[in-house]
Amino acid sequence: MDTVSGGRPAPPRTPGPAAGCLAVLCELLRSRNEFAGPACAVLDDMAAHCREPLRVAVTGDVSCGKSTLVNALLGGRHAAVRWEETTAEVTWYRHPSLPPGLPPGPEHRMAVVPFPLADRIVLADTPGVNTASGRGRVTEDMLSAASDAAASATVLLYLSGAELMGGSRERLRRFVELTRGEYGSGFNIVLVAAKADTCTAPWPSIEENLIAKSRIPGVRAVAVSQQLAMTVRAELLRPGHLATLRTLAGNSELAAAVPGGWHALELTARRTGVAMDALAALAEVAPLPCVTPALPLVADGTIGTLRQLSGFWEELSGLRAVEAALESLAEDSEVLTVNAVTGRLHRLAARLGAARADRIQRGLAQLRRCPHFVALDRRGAALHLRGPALRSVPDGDRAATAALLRGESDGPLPPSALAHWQRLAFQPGRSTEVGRVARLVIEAASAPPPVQAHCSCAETLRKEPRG
Amino acid sequence: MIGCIDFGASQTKVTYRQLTAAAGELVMFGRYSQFPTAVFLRPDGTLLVGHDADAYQGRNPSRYFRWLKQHVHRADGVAPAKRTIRQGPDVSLSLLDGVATVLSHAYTALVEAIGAHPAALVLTHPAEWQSDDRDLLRRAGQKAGIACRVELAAEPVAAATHHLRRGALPAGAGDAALAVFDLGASTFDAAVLDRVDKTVPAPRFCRGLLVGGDDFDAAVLDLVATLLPERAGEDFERLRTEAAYEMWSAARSAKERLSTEDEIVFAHQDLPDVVLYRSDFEDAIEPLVESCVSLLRQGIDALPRTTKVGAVALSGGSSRIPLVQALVGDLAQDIGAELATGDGTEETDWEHSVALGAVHLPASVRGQLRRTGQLPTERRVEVAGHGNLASVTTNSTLRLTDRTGTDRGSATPGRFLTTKVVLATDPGAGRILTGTDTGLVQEWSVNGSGALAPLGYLGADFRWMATFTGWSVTSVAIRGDRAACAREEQPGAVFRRNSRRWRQTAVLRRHSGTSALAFLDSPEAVLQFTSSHMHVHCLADGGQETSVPFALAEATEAAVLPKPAMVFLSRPDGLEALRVRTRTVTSLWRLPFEGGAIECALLRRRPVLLAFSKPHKAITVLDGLTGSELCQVPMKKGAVHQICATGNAGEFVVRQGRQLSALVLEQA
Repeated sequence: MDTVSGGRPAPPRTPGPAAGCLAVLCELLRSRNEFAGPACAVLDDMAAHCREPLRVAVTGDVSCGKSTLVNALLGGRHAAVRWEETTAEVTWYRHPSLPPGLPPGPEHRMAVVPFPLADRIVLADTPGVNTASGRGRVTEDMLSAASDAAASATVLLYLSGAELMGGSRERLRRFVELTRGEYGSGFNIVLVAAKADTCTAPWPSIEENLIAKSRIPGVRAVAVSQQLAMTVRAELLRPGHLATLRTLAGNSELAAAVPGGWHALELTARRTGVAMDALAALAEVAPLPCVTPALPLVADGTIGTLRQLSGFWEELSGLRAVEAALESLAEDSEVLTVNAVTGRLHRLAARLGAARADRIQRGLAQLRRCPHFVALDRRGAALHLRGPALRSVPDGDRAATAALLRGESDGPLPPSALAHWQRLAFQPGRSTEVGRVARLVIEAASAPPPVQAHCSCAETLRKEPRG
Repeated sequence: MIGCIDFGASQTKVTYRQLTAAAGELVMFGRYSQFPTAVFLRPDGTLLVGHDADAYQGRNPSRYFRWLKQHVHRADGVAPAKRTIRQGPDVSLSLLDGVATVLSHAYTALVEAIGAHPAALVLTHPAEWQSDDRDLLRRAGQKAGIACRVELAAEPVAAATHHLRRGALPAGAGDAALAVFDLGASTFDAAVLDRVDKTVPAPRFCRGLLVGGDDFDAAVLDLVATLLPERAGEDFERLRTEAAYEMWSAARSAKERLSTEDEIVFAHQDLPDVVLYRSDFEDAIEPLVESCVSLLRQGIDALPRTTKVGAVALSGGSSRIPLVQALVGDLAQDIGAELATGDGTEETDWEHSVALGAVHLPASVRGQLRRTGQLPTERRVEVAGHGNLASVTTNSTLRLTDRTGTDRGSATPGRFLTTKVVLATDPGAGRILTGTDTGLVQEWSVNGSGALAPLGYLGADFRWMATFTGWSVTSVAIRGDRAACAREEQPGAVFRRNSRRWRQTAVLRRHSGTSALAFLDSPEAVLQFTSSHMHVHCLADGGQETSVPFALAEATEAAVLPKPAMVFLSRPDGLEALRVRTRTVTSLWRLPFEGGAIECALLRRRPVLLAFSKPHKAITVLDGLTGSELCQVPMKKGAVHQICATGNAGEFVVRQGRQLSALVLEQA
């Protein structure tokens, strides 16, 4: 087992009590005679899905650097990386303390790695799509309603180029529909502009373009240089690399040649007598577009140590932004996980037929009486506040409302905010989802938060006669 | 007549159907075929409903409660029947009251339309509603005063039934499933249903989205906002806030026109006119419609490969929008299924498929008759338990036969000189009680093999000169641990069994010409029938009794249902149902009827009355609480002389002269 710099991760976090109740339902269904057979494995996985940290699948076109990004997130070389297509199965990287689980499908495997975010996410590396080899099928299964593995991940970290291709948009749309909750969808996707260092456009504009082209409300985008991210996380930087940067920074002719690319830099280096080996070593760990912004900081002494260089490049690589996005999503792990698993249960019901579908539907309906689902309903609405449908709400009111819905509010909602929500709640000519969120806000503001009474889901669900 | 109330998220629809009619009819509310599912809470606490509530909406929006249905299935840890809707610190409404008000408005209109209470009423609900949610619907129905039998049905099942009856699935579809795309005003429901026995729809996938026609109205307003010149933007937003209802109405009208016209002019008050193109409108709503189509596709894709979908049926008013039909049509084509639009030409068909389908759902009763045998002689029988029938022969012998008429045993009640025997039975306990003109009351048991065994006498086991001293027993009754007898000229008695011994606990007042006795469970009472009156003797602790006489007015027969305490009377000109309480007897209904041979029982906890109709030569089954006809069972071999409930749900013994038959009633 590889170790990671920074020590062992904290204990794994479960999504929350509502997800726990959903896990109980899956386990009780699994124990019933009528669900014997292939449905058992699916229900087992759904129960595990509810009890594990947020499941994140890294997917995208073949050879766009998924495994490199996965390795960067894992902090070591775990996933096979080569220039050609390498990943052939889905590998789930999990916290060491999680109970051993069965993979969601025959072409899935589990691996235990104590990576920095292991307490908050389970990370899946998947074969690339858009390949003739057929290996992408197992990834497509995770995005297809016909498969038991559909939506076995709650969040998609989708790698693409600077432009989103038609097939990618369709895949994203399918994933959104598979994991949809009551309050819209799309909040569980992070688009990654892979190998952004090869693009000339500014990274913020790449990100905005991806969001716009996806046409999925609530989606996030981050431009990433996987090579740079891997350099930092795998601790590949050496004193020689810093020395080479100092040489470049101290030679104005060389520094001016850097933006022109390696060929221009090589020519200038030969002319000025700089050792080519050092430049080649630097090229192996850092793309040139990432060298350029570091030179002035090396020149003025802001970056003087390897640690400082590593920190600067870690920020620049976009990896921290990816991790921040995943950490933010993990805060809503319960809502997102319950949405995903509920959809899985409904599709399982369709596969199994009317009699067993009725049993599943009854179980899901009983869960709605659980006090944990009351709180979940409100947190789902809080998530929706980030969507474009509610952009008319002023930022300050939005924050106060989110705190109210999450049960984190210290005081009443400001009168202006309440008035705004009342308009949205009771006026016709507004979207149904917005009206529903508004009415929830009014209710939350009018009544005390639900008391977290003892949850009797396990007893209630068990009262059903065993088939 | 079967009625339906489709309690919709935005609109409530009401339909009805004659039992023999192929199609249902709509109940109109003025010029509308539906009314808004909304109530307005006035300051004095009274509620306005439907269009009246809509008219008050603008005055105080926080008192206008519109999304009642959505509140039923909400997750809030409170049972729906106890839920309160809060729309402000001082404005709240009990959800039960809100729903009951809507149902009451609907039911009143239904009864007015058909001129009577229906035999049964179907209330529809979303498939994902479970027992708590449906319990609220039932309670709201009771609170609304719905008097007839109520059945609940899932909306996708009702919609599927409508489309199946309209031929949605092509001939030769085999076991193909049916998909339903139901897009209403504020909700979308996707369902995929199996067909049990190729007829009854059973859902295997049901999911919904908070998307509907209201979102398309909002999209029209958003589109107008983008097309207005900048100087008009503020006015538009002001109107959208201050005159929201009018703006919404204008948007809805524009949306409806864009279903048939490629471009329209949106003109409202002083705002500049805006030209709206259907293509722009469809671009605006396409993501919403696609999300609905995707959800249904998920359910279809999740099916096993061996299950095919034969048709995709469109339902809900918002399915009329051409873009919706086009995208759902594409889905149908992709999966090789037919696109079923019902009649499709009528506006009402889109919006009322649930209500029109529900009136065809199994809410009626059917009866099946089967000959079982023949008695040796024509005589009155009583069901004795264990499949046996007890009767008294002309020579005062207690005889036991089975239902084929085969003799099982006999006994001689009383001691010597018995010339007249009356009997009563308790089929559930396998007990027979006989009374003789020699003044003796005797208990018998019947076991599974038809053996008749005497168990002993209630009270005296010998009476001297009973016939001359007025001790002759004229009628008896037995039920559980209670028994009673009436005498010619002496007071009767009420007995209670204490382990094996019977003990007299009360005196039954003498009433001349007592022809029958019967027990009620609640109130605990004995009914004593004479030729002119029914006396209700309430049995309280300590043997005290109250007695209420009720004039029978030429009733020729009576049938008693111990629980609920109901009495049905047959007269030469009709039938009557009575509800008996401690000190009152209330007539529930009367209806003209020519016939007799009545019997009553509970069918799925609802009283039913069976009576032989001479003109129709059939046994008519009526709802006990309303008198509505549930079904008729033709009787080919002449008049029916006796109908006996066996104690098993829905099973009766029918006697025509010496002929015996078994009649089984079941929900169709």
